[in-house]
Amino acid sequence: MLGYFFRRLAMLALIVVGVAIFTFVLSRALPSSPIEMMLGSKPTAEQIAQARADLGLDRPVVIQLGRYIVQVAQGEFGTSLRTGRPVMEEVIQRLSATAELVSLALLLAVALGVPLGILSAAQRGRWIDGLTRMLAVSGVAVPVFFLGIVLQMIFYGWLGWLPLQGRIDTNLIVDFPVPAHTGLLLIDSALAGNTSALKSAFSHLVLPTLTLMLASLATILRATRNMMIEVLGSDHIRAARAYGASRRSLYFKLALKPTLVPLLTIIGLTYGFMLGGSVITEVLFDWPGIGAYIVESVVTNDYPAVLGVTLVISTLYLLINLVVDMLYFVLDPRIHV
Amino acid sequence: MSGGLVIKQLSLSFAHAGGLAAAVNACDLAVMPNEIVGLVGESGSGKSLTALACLGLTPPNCRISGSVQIAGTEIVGASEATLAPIRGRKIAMIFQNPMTALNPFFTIGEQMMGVIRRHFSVDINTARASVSGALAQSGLTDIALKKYPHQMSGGQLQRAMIAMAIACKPDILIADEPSTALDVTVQARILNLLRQLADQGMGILLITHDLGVVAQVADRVAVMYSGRIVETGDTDDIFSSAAHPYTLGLLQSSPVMGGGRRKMHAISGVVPDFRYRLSGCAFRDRCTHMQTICATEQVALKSLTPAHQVNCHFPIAQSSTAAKS
Amino acid sequence: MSSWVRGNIFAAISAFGLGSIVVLALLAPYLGLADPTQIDFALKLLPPSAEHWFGTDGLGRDIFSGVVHGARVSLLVALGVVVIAAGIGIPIGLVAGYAGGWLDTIFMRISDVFLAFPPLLLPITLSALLGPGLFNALIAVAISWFPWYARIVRSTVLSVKSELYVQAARAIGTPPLSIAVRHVLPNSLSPVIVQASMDFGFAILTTASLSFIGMGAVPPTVEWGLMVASSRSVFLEYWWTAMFPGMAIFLTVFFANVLVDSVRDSLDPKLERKP
Repeated sequence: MLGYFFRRLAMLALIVVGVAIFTFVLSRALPSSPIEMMLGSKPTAEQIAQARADLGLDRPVVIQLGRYIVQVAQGEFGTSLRTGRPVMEEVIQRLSATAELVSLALLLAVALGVPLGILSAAQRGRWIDGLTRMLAVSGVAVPVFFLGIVLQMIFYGWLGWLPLQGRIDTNLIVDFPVPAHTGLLLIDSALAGNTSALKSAFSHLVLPTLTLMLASLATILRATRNMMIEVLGSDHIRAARAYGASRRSLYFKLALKPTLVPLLTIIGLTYGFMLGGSVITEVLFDWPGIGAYIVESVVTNDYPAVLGVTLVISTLYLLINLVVDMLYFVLDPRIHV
Repeated sequence: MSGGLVIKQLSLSFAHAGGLAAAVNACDLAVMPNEIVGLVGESGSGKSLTALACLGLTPPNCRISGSVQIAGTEIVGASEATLAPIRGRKIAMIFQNPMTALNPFFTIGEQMMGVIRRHFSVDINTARASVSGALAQSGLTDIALKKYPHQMSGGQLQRAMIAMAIACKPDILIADEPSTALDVTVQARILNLLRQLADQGMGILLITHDLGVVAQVADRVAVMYSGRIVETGDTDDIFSSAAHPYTLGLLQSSPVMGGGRRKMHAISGVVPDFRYRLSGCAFRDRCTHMQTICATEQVALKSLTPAHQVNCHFPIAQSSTAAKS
Repeated sequence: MSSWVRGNIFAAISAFGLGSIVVLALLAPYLGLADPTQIDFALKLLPPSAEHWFGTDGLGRDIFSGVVHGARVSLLVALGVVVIAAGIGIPIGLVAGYAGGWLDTIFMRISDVFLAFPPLLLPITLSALLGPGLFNALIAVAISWFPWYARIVRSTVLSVKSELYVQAARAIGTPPLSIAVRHVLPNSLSPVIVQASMDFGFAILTTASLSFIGMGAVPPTVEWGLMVASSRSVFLEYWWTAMFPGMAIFLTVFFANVLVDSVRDSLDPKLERKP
């Protein structure tokens, strides 16, 4: 198992290098030169030459690529052309906001999707099953941005219950700053015992989380239901019933484990969908995460930032999938060696 | 009447495009403590479905009528809450394919402990002791406890399955083709085990298509054809004086021990699809004795002797059977 | 039984819904609708009425006309995405699977890199590179998705290659191209079509999303995602500006997905039929 893990890790490193090369090539092809971005509209020839030398753009492309990969390996993504700050620093700073949003949404999607899927399988063909099917089919058909807008209309515009956008009430954070321990505002404000900040952070989280969650909830729900039904039809479940297993122990033990283990793959995929969906959600809710950061960077041709954040997200995505595969190893007795 | 499994007028049918089709028809069968009853028939004759009905495990789209009683408790129409304490405790079943009938995600030990603790409120050590006992009885050691199904051979799995079935010392054990997938030596040991269990008081319903197996261990035999019991009697009666043409055909088409070298017979034709069942006797198209009445009237079971009954208009005369075998 | 009927009613409703959208899209120029790009500040932000069924937007454009004309764009773009993705993927998959060796290894590693991006991230990066515009967004999505198609074809090639009749054809010297065309392509066609039809709805969503964040359609193109984006400053007071184009996307994708699901269910005998 350890051998497999290291083989996978080596493979992952190779793919990350591949992604680095790919993004590097893409960045060289970006339509406008980063120099203009740095120097404004009318730079002199010397300024341009100086900037090119500073960025290493006067060297051969292969050398640039080599230097880039070495830098990336050291966790050095260069400085943002837009803000002049190190990309790594900005990414890390914004990563926590995305992490808070995505993990909450994933947690909720699993916590709701799995039980609803089990219920749906147990009530197969009844109205509740039809209802969850509608939810599942609709959930993946709603554009994320439209769902967010409808939620904003209802809960901000109409009911006035929840804030329109942002991560926390800005006045509040100026008056009572919350010390950052984890970067997750919900946890930090709870740690600081700052109830009003906690309330504000929570109320700001609700709509983006719901927006991001729905498609994943739909996917997880339907996958759980279908796998559960398949497992319930298997011989060993009939045998378990023949030995007196109660419905409860079927749904929550004997059929649950064979359902959950393959479900891990779906949950890993869902995580990827959420990272993609977070781009739209963050733009819509003005959420200061890396999703919104990508869009800002792309729009302003801030190529070190685009490269850095793309690499970070892809690596995270690959790592999550690796963890999922390793969990599979631990949980499915059939692939023990 | 108290112990034992009593099946009366059990009919099982499925709705299909053309109406209702009976897979099992007015079946009468009893298994008493201490005896092994062989239920013999070709695949598709309804024997496995009958077994599932005894556990209340017929598929959801199956319509059921008649009665199945286990130690006086009615199974037909009983709720899950009534059935759960009976299943595994009063009646247990050894399934045909142990490879798929055991849960691949739990060890044999976990699965067996689950069965014990479902039916008895005992502490872990007592439960473990009875699990070990059941394993030993079926010829496995405690090493099996920590194994997952995929780590065991077919023979070991079949034994584990048997151990699981007998762990709660049920009154009735249904064994559905318990030895089909196994090689001959393992098969013999498993049949011996069944005999032992019966001698200790268990009533066993042995489902098989193999008359040789029945000849070795069964006390009584019921022959099923196309959803009907066509002949039932003591094992000796059936083997020495089969009265139904189908039973005779089965006997002639299987190598019976001590039968010597003789030409094996095959019954021509196949079991008719139960959805398109004919009127009258279902076997008539394959029967050499067919008369007009066979096509129009379904006969009731006739008693040849108090223990030997046959479902045929023209049972084969005892002398002629004896002469043939 | 009843559930089967219910499923078919669903499918029939979806077929009718999607059919109507397609017909509207085809007939859009001939319906005598207002010009969806016609700006008229005198008519801005009018609520739905007999005159303007879906109201007007912040620039006084008729939203009903925009939704109908937008259907043309969205359906065509989604079709373009799957056709181009399959068009790039099929030959690459054929070559990789058939040639094997280092060509195959290179393809697999490249597709690993493509699949290392979470969905939507690669289309965003690529359309940033290509610049704004709906056609560029279409190309960006198609390029991001082609490895899926190539992988499907490649795996069919690998399984067909081991078939006896193909080995026999090779043994008697049939040229690789004719084997590929005669034996491999027909076998891989149906999984490719299934994949393409499942991707169709997703392609509508993805291109609309790109337009929404400003990396897809640009005015004066009439596109649903762009219509929703342009409503962002006003939708809280004037709900119809976002609601109708948004619902148009949702319903189109919903109908398409339900239809594909039920067709696939009836084609695939392995999938369980509910009793």
